[in-house]
Order: sequence, then structure tokens, then C-alpha cells
Amino acid sequence: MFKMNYPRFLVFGLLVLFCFAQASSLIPIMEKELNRSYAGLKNAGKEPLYFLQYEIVDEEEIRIQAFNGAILANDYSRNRYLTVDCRVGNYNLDNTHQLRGATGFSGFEFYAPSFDQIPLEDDEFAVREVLWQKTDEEFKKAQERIMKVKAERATKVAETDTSPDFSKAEPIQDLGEPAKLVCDTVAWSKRLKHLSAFFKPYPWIYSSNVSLTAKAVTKYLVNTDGTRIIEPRNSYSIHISAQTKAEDGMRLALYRPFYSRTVLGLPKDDEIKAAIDTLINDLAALRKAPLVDPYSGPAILKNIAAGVFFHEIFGHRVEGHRQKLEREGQTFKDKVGTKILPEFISIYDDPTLKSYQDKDLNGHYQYDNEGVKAQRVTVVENGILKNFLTTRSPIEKFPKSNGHGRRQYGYKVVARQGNLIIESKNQVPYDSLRKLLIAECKKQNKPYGLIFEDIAGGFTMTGRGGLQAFNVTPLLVKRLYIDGREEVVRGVNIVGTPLIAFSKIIATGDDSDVFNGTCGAESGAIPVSAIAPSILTSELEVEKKVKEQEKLPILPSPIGGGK
Amino acid sequence: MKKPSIRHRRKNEPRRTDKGFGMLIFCLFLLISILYGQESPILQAMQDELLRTTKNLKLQKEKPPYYVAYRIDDKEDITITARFGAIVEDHSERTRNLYIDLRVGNYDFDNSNFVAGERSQFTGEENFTPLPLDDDYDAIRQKIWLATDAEYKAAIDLLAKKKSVVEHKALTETIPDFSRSSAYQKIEEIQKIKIDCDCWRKRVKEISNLFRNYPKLQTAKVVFRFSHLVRYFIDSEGNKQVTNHFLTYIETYARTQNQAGANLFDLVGFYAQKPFELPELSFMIDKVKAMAETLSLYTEVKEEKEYTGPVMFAGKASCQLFYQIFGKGVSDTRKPLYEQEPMEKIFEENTGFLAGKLNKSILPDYITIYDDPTAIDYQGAPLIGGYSVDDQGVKAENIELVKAGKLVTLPMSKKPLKEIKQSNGHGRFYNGVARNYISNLIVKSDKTTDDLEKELINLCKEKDLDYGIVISAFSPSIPKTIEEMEEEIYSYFGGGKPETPMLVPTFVAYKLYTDGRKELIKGLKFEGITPQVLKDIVAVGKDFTVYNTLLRERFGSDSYLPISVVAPSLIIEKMVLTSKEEKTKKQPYLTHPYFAK
Repeated sequence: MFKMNYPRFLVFGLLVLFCFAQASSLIPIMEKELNRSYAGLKNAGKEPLYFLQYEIVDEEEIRIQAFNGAILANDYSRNRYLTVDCRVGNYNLDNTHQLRGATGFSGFEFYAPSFDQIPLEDDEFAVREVLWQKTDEEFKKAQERIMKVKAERATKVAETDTSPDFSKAEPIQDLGEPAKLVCDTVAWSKRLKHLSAFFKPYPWIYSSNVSLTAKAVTKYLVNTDGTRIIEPRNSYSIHISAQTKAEDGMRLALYRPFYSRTVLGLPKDDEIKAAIDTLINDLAALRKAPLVDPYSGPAILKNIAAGVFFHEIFGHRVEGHRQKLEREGQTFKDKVGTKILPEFISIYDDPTLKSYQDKDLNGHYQYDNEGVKAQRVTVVENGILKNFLTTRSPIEKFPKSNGHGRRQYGYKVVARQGNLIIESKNQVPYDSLRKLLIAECKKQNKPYGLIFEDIAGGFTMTGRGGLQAFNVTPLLVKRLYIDGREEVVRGVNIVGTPLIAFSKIIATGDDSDVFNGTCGAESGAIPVSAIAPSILTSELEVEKKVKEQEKLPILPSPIGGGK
Repeated sequence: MKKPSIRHRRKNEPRRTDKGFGMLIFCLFLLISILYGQESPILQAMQDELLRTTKNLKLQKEKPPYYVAYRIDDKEDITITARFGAIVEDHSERTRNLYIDLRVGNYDFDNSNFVAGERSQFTGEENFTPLPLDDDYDAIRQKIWLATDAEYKAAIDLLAKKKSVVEHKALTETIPDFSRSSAYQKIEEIQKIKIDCDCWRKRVKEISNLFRNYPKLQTAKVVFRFSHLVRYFIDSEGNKQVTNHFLTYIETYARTQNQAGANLFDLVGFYAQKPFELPELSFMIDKVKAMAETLSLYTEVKEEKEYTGPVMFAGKASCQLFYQIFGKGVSDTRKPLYEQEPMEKIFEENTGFLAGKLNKSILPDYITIYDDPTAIDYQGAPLIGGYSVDDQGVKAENIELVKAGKLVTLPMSKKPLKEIKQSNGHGRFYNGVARNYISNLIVKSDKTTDDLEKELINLCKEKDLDYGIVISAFSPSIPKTIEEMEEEIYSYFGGGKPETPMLVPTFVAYKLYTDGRKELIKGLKFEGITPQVLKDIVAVGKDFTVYNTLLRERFGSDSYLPISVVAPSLIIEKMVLTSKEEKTKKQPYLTHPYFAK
């Protein structure tokens, strides 16, 4: 019997799913231990405990992957992760204060995520045992750290930003219904097999993947402010990817994600098939494409690519803590009230937005990880910098949180983006934007401009130690010649200073679209969105990627034939 | 080299059906199990790609591979974890991974036994390719093709680097890198075992719920694990196998602190290959209770200062002694050549220290030691270290390691040693490297003593001692949290790693007074222990204990090696025990919420 018991697992997954989908009594359990701990620990150490928070993230996930018509992985998991935030000292100075002389990797204080797993059943004392232990551990760590903070204060020069370490927040009571996972794994396995088989006739595509990730995440949060939150969150995403190599060995990869808050909101097969076809065509074009030449001149960033670009290059730099920490670049610290972008551009971050046009937004949330209600923040208004994204840790001139304190379980909260929205008052149809690019090329005496169709984001280094440079990877770039011809090029690497591209935006399209993704930074991986129109900038600098030394496979694909 | 013919059927080659329909049915009926093996799309894809690789894979100006092995591990894992009566983890997983052993050069000198750059074996970087779970010939072959291509190119690079390192270091003594083994074909039928997860959930919950009765313990965790591995192995030497490997266990791990604040922890595990071989629930409950009671008692046991005199290793402690001092000493005896000595090397298992004792007497002449991977139980007690074919496709062999006190051979993989060149079916993968390792270690004695405790008292009286020490268990060295690993890392930075084997401090030990009284003691460690202690065995009991354990870096770690040791209790004439320094941490500020009620 070589057909292994694979279908049994699917059934098993479904069963487990129904067993656990029940109303939760977690909040009262958390509340009991929170109250006991707070009362018992308040004055138990050298420094008083003044804030305590328990956050449990209940994550249920199904992930199915298919390759060339065969299932590659089919995993179901459910876990509950506890993060304890413990502050000793007082609002002005507590254990979370930055340590400037911190030791560790390249001078950074190294935060390993600290979490524990909570029982999947709401058994009072089994849950409280974990809460008790983690609280004890975090309380001891907090007492140790504040000693270091105080010692450093006594020996080092004063910091430039003297704002307090923590701010008060309105208590919130909002107990929603826990999220439920709805996913017919048997039917989805079939669909993914069917869809992934569309890659099979192309043996030159070395590796491809069509996957579904279905998640039901419930956040349970209680803290000593009196805040009690149950916030559910569902996400369903389909991810298509394909990789190959060009004749010279350069690795080429393209991706296409789809996201929805409901399983029904996912695209139908024909739409996914169309995306696969486009991806195959683009990859085929890339394989044959010439290498890019070093170039500095006008360029268009297509809507979704522009969204990624803004998120990475701009968004991370308006995260509040980066204006305060001494190790950070503090790009915009003294720029509030001054013009940093063309006057027709405004930027918001609005996590309260659930969808844009007909697309669900991955960056939506009701409450952040400090129990603060999400707020729409006007970051840039008519080109002028107005505000930063803030947490409950104040920064100079911004004493309050605007609900952007986010993290993956186990990490320390920092300011993060939710839904970054770029608005423009200088919109033209995309065709006209293309014509404007040609006009700009002629003006600058360039034979062609560049169109960035697709770029992938990465971790932008904003620190003083690291380069303040771009960290986006262009995936699909075209040359637009002044006679209107388009030509795919490969090996494009963006270089130069990030802010220049923004200050030199000439016009934008009227084609705003949504990028949904996951953002990784110092507080872990979190869901984000960016909405932007295509933008035309008069100056962007690119160079040729360093060539990989890998060779093409020696033997032809064993499947042979094909297209 | 014997090269058996393998029938390769190309994918589109029509089957010969000219012998008639009836004949075909007959053949199917008769050879159903074998046919299943041979017609499996997985084996077919492996065979077809292996044939193409050995025939055609060659980079210009470079030599083709001289040896290629494909191993596909199709694994089903079920893990259920509980704490304090509630399920914490409940996870089933199926994976199918391809591992390639591709060698360029020749048997004498190839790309293996070499670590380039600062990489360490410790990090356990095992290169594997996830394969489709469906038995899809094309999709599997496509994955094998690309993985082989990458392995070949990497092997060429590695061989070139190794050559330059060897030239630079001007190494004179050369031992071949690899040896041939006689081709072994074994196609097992894929066994199926139904796991009643609900039933195991209940048991795990019930065991973990016992800890509601032990207010002195801070936490406990109970883990049920079932793992069924179906392994497909073929290589260019004509080996071809499909084998089943099972492992089932329930481990209970408890932790607390003593009054001084030092950590106390213990692990009680029940291991078997198949679930029904595990002991009855009531038996397990009794053992867990005993562990919890002892651990509770230990919160008040005072530290012992030092002791010099006879020491009895009872039951599990004797097995642990043989495993640490003998088993690890004869295992993993050949270390790789490092391009740069990595920092992490100091954390690697201390093994292989007995290699130089080959053909020398290391134990009293009445002691014999076997390592028998073919054994599945010892007088009815399940052993977990065994297998029918080792991880390099070599047939398992029962070997006599110690004959009349003399070390006569070593467990061998296909990695030759100076003294022994051939594998004896003891090639085991651990942390991404094939090592020569023990499996089921069985210690026997021709001379036994009826009452070992009485013997210990006699020895004490002879030496004018008030009491002797009996050790019944060592601290479990396995359950380490990341924090503990870090602590260990820092503690190593000071003095470096000792050359001699490390025995973790005693855990369950007591004083046996000459009048027969017993008194628990703790916190002793051995002063300068060397394999020499084995020679100082003065008495061996009639009893035997089966000790099953998993070699792994961390509690719950995914890379593990099942090991079994069977040994009698014994007395060592004279040992020096000193108190160990313990790291203490403040006790929890608050009482456990359940016991604070």
C-alpha cells in the first residue's frame, strides 16, 4: 500500500478544528492571575511594579502547498502563545528604557522573543500555572534591567530626548467573539493540485508553488489599566511563486499573493489561472531579458510596487521609536512641520480601514498590542510632515500613543505600520503617466525610462550603524523607450539615497491599488498593507546586480518535453 | 563489487503483458509486496534519476560523482503535550524529505569528512529537499534532479577546498574517506499503525494531572510522541531498501528549585518502537508518582561536601555510566577535518575517546559487551536503539565490542578508521552527519554477586567507612531550555572543554550506612573521571536494567538518535566525589496559583 494515509490527516485536521472552536473563558482566568500577580508583586521587588499586561495569541493555521500537481505540504497547527509585559519603576523611568551601552551583537541590545505556550483548553489552573511562571520570570528580568538603566544614567551624559518611558492610556473593554477557522482542506487540496499543475508543462521553471494559508487568530489582552480585549482576526491567502535561472545562472523569481479576510473572498480559479499565466509569461521574458545598464533618471513605480516602496523606504522612517533611540538614524526627527514631499502628496496610516475599494486589507486591526485603539494618523499632509506613528512609549513632542504599538508574540512592542495610504492630488490616468515618463526622458536626454512592475520588500536598515539605503528588490523591471517600446530587463538593483526619489515625484497615476503582506522588523513579523497609485519620479538610480556564480543545471529536466 | 541488476522501467515504456492476463494476476497475487516496492513511483523516480545521474552527470573538466545515495524519509509524527492536566500542544505532521549523499573524488579521498568555513557540525545543518507527499513520479523526479545538481556542484567545490586545506596543513597520515559495503536489498511492506489520539490525549492529561498533588514542584510537562518513518534508500553500490522505523514514547519532565534556589529537574520516560509496546498506564503513573515524590523530597535534601570510597551504580545509573563512559567513548570516533576550527565545536558531544584503546583491556575480564541493533527487546523489555538497516543502507550487525574485558572492535559506519575499514552496520545520522554510533548496548558479566548492597557495606567496613554511596540515577542531561544552553555556553568559555567524558552530576543518590540505613544526598560530581574507572569495577549484580534514551540537544529537539543500554548494577572500588557548585536563582515570588488557593 503505497498510498499513504494522507487523507486521514485532513479529516483529523478538521476534527480538531471543530473540537476547539468553542467560546472562551480565557479572559476571566487571565484576569484572576493578573490581579493576584499585581497585588503580590507590586512592592515585592526593589522597584515597584506599576504595569502588568498579559497577551495570549491563539493561532490556528492551515497551510497547504502544491507543486506541479502534487501536494507538497499539508499542515494544521493550533497554538496559544503568551507574552507578558512587565514594567517596574514609574512612568518616567522604567525597565524598558534604552540602554545605550548595551552589549550584544554590534552594540544592539539583543531581544530574543520571550513567550510560552498556554494550554489549548481553558483549564483555569493549567493556564494560570504558565501565567504565574512567565510573570515571575519577566518580573525578575525587569528588576535586573532597571538596575542597569539606573547605573547607566549615573555614568553617561543625558539623552537628547528626555520624554518619559510610558504613558497612560484609556482602559478598553471590548470582548469580541474568538475567530473561527473555516476551510475545507480536502477541497482546497484538490484545487491547489489542479492550479499548481499549470506550471508543469514548463520544465524550465525549476520550482513553483501554489499555496493556501488560512488563519484564525484571536488576541486576548488584559492589563492593569483595566483593559480587557478579545479581538478576532481571520486571514486567507493564496500565494503563487515560481523560480528559474537565466542562461548566465542568475536566479529569477516572481510571486503573486492574494489575500482576503474570508475564504469566499479569495479569487476564483480562472483569476488565479490568469495570474499563473501572467507569471509564467513574465518569467519567460525575464529569462531572455538583457541585463540592465547602470542608470540614473526618470522611472515609474507601478501602484503595488509603489506601495511596497513607500512602506519600506518611507513608512519605517516615520515609526516613532526611531526618532528617540540614540542608535537610530532619526531621519525625520527635526522635520515635523516642514515639506518633505511634493505638496500634492499626503500619507496616512489607518489601521481602522478594513478594505479599500473591493480589497480586504491585511494591515487592519482594532487594537494594538498595548491595548490602545487603532487610529488614523495623518503622517504627511500636502507634502508637510505632521506626525509619527506612536506607541505608549512617548517621544519628544508626541506624548501619547496613536495605536501603532505592534509586535509578533514574544517580542517587545515598537511603532509599526498598519495600512499605509498614499494619496495624490496630481493624478493622471496610467497611460498619461507613461507619456509623462517619455516626456521626462526627452527632457533629461535619456533614451529610455524605467518602469518597476514588481518589487519585493525587505528590512530597511534605518540604524546609524547600518546603511540608510534602499532595501527593496526589484523583481520585474521594464525599459520604456521614447518611441514607446517596452523591454524587460533583469538584474536591477536600486542604489542611492532614499529620500531623493520621494522629493522628486512628478505625478501619480489614478490607479491606487493594494499591497497586502507581512512585514518583518525588530518586533517580529506582522500583517501590513500599503495603498498607493503608480508614481513617476524624475530620479532613481539603479545598477547591475552582483552576478551569481551558479551555473544552470547540467542535465535537462527529467520530465522533458513541454513548452 | 557485486552489482545486482536493477530493472528500470522508463515512465512511458509499456509493460509486457504478452504472458496473458491470468499469468499477470497470478504474479500480482504472488509477489504483491515486492511488486509494491518496485512499482512504487517513489522508488521508480529514485532509480531512474540515480541511473541518469551516475551515467550522465558530469561538469566539464570535472569528474563525475563516484558514489550517489538517495534517501527519502517519509515521516509521520504525532506530538501531544500536556501541562497540569490540560493539552498544550496537539500536532500531527507528515513530511517527506530527500537526503543525498553524493561523493566526488574516490573512496580514498572525497568531499566528505570535511567542514568548510566556520560551519560546525553542532549546528546540525542538514541539507534536505522537501518532496511532494503525493506519490507523483514526475514531481518527485523533478525535485531529485535539481537537488542532485546542487549537491554535485557543492561536492566539487568542497573537494577543491579540502584539497587545498590538506596541502596547506601538510597532513601525512591519510585514512580513506569511504568504504564499500556489500549490496543489500530489502523491501519491507509499509506498515500501518492506527493511533487513537483521543486515547493518548486522555493518558497524557491524566499523567500531567498527577502534578496537582505535588505542591513542591513548580512545573511539569508530559509529552506523547509517535513517529513512523518509512525510509526509501538506494545507492550506486546496488543497495535498495524500503524499511519501517517506529518510535513511541511518553516523557514526563518535572522541575522545581531546592531551598537554596538551585534548579532540580528529572525526566521519566517510557519508550518503545510501537505504541502497544509501551507499559500499562497504571505502571507509568506509578513511576511518575515515584519521580515526583523523589523530586519533592529533594527540595529539602542538603548538599553533600565530598566523599572518597566505593560507589555503587544501581540500575539506571549503571546504564548511564556505560552509555557515557563506554558507549560515547566508542562512538563517533572520527572527527572531520575543519577548514577553520569553529567556536561551536566545543559544544559538540564528547565522543570517541576510547578509540585508542582498541585491542586493549579496558574492563575486568568477566565483562562482555555487545552492540546489537537487530534486537527489538531484552527479555521482553522493548529496546529502541535498533534497526534492520543502518542510515547508510548497510545491514545491521550484532557486534561484540568487548570480549573478556578487551575492546576488540568498534561500531563502524562506512567512514573508515585507521584500524578498521569496513562498516558493521552502525552508520547513524545525527545532526546531519553519518557517524559510527552504538545502538543497543548490552553489558553482560560472567561473575555476579547476589547482594550488591551487602557487598558495598562489606567494602565500607574494610575501609573503615561509616557509609558508602549508591547512585541510582544521574541528572537527565537532555532537558535543556535555551537559557540553560546559554549558561552552559558561557561556562565553557572559561576553562574550555574537558578532554575526558563528562558525567552530569549525580541526581538520585543516597548514603548506605553500614547498619543498613539509607539517607538521600545530592549535588555530587565526579572528580576527574576517566574511562579508567571501568577497570575499577569490583562487583557486578545479577540484575539488569533496560535504559532507553534519546540522544538530542534539547528536550523536544527534532534531531534525535534512539539508544538503548542494558546493564547490571555494579560497584566501583574507589571514586572521588566532590560537591558541585550550583547556580541559584531566587524562588518564585508568589506561590503556584493552584496551591495558593
